[in-house]
Amino acid sequence: MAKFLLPILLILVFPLRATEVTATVSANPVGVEDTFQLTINVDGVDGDVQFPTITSIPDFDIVAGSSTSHSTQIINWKTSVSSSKTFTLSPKTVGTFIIPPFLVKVGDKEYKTKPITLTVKKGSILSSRQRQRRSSPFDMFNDKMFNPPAPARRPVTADSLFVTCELSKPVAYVGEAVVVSYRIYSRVSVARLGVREMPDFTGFLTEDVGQNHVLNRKTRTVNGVSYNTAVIFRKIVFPTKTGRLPLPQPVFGIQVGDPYSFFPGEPVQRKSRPATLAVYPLPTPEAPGFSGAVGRFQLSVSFNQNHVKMGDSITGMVTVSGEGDFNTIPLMFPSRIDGFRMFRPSSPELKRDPKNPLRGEKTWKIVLVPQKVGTLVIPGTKMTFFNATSKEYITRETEPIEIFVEKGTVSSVSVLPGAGGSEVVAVGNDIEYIRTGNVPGRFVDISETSWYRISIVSIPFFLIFLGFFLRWRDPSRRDPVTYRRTHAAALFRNRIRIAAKFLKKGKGREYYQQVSKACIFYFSDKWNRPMLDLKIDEIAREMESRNVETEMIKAIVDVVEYCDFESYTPSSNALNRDIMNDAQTAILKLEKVL
Amino acid sequence: MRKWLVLLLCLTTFVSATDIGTLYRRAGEAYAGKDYDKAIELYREAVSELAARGEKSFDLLYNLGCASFRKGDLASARLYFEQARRIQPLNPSVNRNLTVLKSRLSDRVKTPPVGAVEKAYRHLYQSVPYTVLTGLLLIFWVLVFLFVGLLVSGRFSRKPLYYGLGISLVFLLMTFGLVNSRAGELTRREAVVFQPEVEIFSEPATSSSLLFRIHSGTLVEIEGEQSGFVHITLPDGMNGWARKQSFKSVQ
Repeated sequence: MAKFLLPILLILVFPLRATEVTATVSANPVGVEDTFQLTINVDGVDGDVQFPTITSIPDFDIVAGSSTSHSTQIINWKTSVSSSKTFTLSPKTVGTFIIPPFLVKVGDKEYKTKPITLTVKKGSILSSRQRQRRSSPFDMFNDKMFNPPAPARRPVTADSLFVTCELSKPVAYVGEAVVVSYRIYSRVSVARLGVREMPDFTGFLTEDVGQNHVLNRKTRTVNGVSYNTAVIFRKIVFPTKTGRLPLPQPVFGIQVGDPYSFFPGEPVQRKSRPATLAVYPLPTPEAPGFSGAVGRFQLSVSFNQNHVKMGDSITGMVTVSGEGDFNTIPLMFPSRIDGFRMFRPSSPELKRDPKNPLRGEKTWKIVLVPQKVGTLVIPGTKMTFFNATSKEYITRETEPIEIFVEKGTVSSVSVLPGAGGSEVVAVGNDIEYIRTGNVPGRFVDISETSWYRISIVSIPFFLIFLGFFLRWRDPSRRDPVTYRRTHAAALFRNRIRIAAKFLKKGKGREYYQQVSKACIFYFSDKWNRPMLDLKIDEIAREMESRNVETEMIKAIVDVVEYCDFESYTPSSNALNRDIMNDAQTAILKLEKVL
Repeated sequence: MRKWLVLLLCLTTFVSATDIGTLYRRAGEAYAGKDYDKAIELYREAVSELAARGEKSFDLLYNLGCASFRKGDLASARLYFEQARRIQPLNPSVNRNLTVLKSRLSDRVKTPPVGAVEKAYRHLYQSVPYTVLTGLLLIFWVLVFLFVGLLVSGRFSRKPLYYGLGISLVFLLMTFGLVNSRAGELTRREAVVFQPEVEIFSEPATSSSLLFRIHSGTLVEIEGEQSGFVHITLPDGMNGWARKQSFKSVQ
């Protein structure tokens, strides 16, 4: 019985848990340099939770977040889910502020949190344990060298760890270069350091200063207390307007602890202490030729040679060195010089002094090619800037340079490609212009024309018909005598083919007779003499009378006599194949003579 | 009477040529004055007049493509540039313009790489004007049958005739191959998409699976046609069926 009663009693004793929505802060009061957590918590969730989308809270900066967490519990045999959303906030100024209520939708119902009154005091008043424990996804530095001798477990107070904004000068003119350094002061071990939030430099133009990955640690005494200190990063700023301009206050994420420890250190956040720069306007009226450069500069122009042959190039260097804003300094050099062909100057090269980032050197490379013989003068050039130290406009001017040009060996201008100027870079693409002219070109597909098709079909018939017609009209074919004379060689070949058939069949007598007959018939056809009247001796005599070479006569006589002899008194059973070839060779030679 | 007829025929041809030249010049002036609508109208008129005589003009089609491009009608510009490229496939201007035009289209269609041998062969038949190729084909065709006829006549020595016949046959076959390849390009069934977006289906029915979408100005190859749908293929091999009215044929 007890088995059944116990669950029932439990259900009765523990009431069903209702949905509860609250907003809490991790600390109250807080310091203006502190960060704290704002958590919106929903307990006893019985449906979908829709947290409000918070992008800004009046008087506070959202430094990080939001992060959402869920937990599930089983109470009274019923599943209940708790959800929470956490933001990390940083106060903007000192005072008492109200964090407004937030609307949270749970299932079909809406809940509103209570407003929170929060007091913000000067400096940092929270101990490190009251601050959030978060790992930084934005760590820029991993400074294992920055490890002061202070014990790791020392409480991190506002005085033991802070970041300052240091200016190279507190007062500047518009456009004057000022180095801003963000420096950390610490009496505790710092394992990691990173910039968590970087506000804009409103009212300034900025230029980054290169820096080492590992911070350069020094020891400084502030109000009698020794600190380990290092510059986190530096920027050169150029004020663009007058007045007291506040410098931005970046928020740094710092991990306090032993950098060599296996366990991560305690994370804290520090906002840079405020700093302002007093900016004065430049004195008026501005000097003629003033381009906006403020600082201290030197100007120099030099060329690699003073004696040159016409057509050869000379390279010049225009250098502006000194301290200040180099970005506002344009090239101080004439765009055209009489007697010279001038190539487009190269892009300027700016080198900053790593020890003093305000100091630097800006150079342009110029290529000139003399176009005439004689002493040519490159005029002097000048630049005007405002010297913030002496508070006056200063003009620097270079001396004219004489270049002695001799007659060159080549008349044409020879310059190494790419010696001056910079590479041509396409800045856009577009179609080409239309084709112009009086009449457009025409395209006719002749294969589609009727005359082409008729030609393709009719020409073969016509030419073959023409062939037959010529054959039919051939006078040699009409007169048998002429035909036999002109075709004697062809008729000979036909007879030899018959002889070859006899040879193939092994009929020796018929073979030799046919070869002999083919030779005799050749002369019969050629000379239009009856076959019976022709004997080999007579043929030989006739050929002699026609001045045929003796060797050729002998060759044909030998073939005929051999064939006659073998046809009647064969010397062996083997047939002489060569005699047929000899006959063909002899007749072929005779055909050219007769 | 015959003299008068010949004179009339010559005069008609001359007047017609002058008309096209006038249209061409006026269209060029309109283009220079950025009146692209007027330029397109005049170029189209000239193209129609030539087409009525069975002729085409690279210059007219190229300029028509330029004017359409300037007007912002990329699909028409693609159509005319492709038509112009069929006449002069290796013309650098039209190829450059097509490159610029393609860079402004929505679709990026990958073209499969072409082997070195195929590339060289293609360059060979594209570098010779089609008219020259067809003329050469006719010449070698005539030569082959001339040698056959001379052999048939039996009046001449056969040996040089046989050589001539063999050489002519070789050249005839070579030219035929080039003409055939070039003619294949000229008559290839290609079309340009003229609607902002065209859906490609797996079958010639909108109830079938939707495969992909192509956009205005894309060039496709037409491989078949059925019940108001055309079977299209992209250069990378993707294919499917789309409504016929979404395309304009490149001819």
